[in-house]
Amino acid sequence: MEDYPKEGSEFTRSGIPVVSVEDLNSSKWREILDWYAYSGDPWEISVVEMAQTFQKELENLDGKNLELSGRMVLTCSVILRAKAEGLIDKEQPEEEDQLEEDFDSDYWGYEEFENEKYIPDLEIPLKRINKRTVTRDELSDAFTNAVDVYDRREERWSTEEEDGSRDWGLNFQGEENLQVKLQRLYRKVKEKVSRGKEVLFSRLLNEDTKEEKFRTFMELLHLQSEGKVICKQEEPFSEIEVELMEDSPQPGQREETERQDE
Amino acid sequence: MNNREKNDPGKGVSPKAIIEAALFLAGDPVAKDELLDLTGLPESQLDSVLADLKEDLSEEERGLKLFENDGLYSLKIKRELLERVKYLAPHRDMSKGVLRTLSVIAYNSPVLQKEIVEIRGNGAYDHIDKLIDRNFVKSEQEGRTKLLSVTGYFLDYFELNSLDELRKGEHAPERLSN
Repeated sequence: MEDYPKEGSEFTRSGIPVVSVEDLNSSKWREILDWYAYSGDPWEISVVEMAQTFQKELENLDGKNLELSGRMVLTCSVILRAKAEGLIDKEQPEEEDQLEEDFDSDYWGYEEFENEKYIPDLEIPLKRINKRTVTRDELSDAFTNAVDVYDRREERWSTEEEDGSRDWGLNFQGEENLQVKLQRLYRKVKEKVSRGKEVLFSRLLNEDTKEEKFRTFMELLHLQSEGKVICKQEEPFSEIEVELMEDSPQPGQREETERQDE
Repeated sequence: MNNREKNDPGKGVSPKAIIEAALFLAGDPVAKDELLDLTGLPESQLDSVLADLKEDLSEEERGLKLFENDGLYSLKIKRELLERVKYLAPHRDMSKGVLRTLSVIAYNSPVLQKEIVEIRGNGAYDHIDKLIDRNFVKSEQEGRTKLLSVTGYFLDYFELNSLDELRKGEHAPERLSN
């Protein structure tokens, strides 16, 4: 719209013509709106100020012209939309160089970007550790559960003992002969010990399971009771060290000893 | 640099506000020394501020209360409100296993440690250590085992006047162990 703004128009402090009620009432109100959206710089228009001006005019009209008030709302929304689209354009520049330029100066407006690697000071909200107190009902329920677990365990053990199916870890029936297993472990201890003064219990395990630990430990106790090894533990729950007894056969005497064992 | 210098809120910030913020955020109990460090107050003044905060919170319209145990301070939900809001914080301040062990001790207190281990299994040793650390349970040597009993802190925590209130009250489980 070439003849807009017309002579005598009122201008904002930034030099943008103020949309008058007369403009919106004229037959060219759509063109005027287009001028604001595309020809004028929407960044320079204060939507708030414009809305306030419209609001004053509307108060004078006393709600008698709904079409005009609708145009006012539309004008504000078009300019707001134009501003929003301008923001999207600035956030997605086509050229990478343009992005850097915008990022460094105009877009953020931080001088720090020009001279140093400025990192905005972002505050992450602190999260509270939200563990709560236990209720009395939960304490009571916990007791009931604990007793239930105990009862079920007792019942299971009782049944297993009655039918002889309980695995105490000592039931070697159906497995290899205990002596064969002891000899195998004894050979292993001697092999490991031959490279040092003692061997750690964990190095005698074939696999890292509770069952394997238990069986190996039981076999070691058998070997200790037979006077072949000594198990030592410096502190409670520390690693068990296994040593050969001083008078136990040395690796070179292994085969003869094993034949005697057999 | 101490915590107060690191987090100096500036002049005009009420020590009571600092304490309230610290206890709210921490979740876990905060030591008195930490509060002295945070506020920069002498101990006598800190005691006065804590007493003031406790009084404020004791008002009926407040939902929290100030809880003190052996020089450790924390903010807790008032017991009468806990049932209503507990679903918002599903995590309790002790594990299921530890809670079960505590319950067996509480309903049988005083009780021999070996009896607790018989009921709860070998994991009970670890649970008992944790409960002693948190001052819920105390232990005395009794021959080759230990005699376990709940502490005054346990009663404070569950807001009980006595263990009878727990054993015979509305929260007593249907079945108590022998």
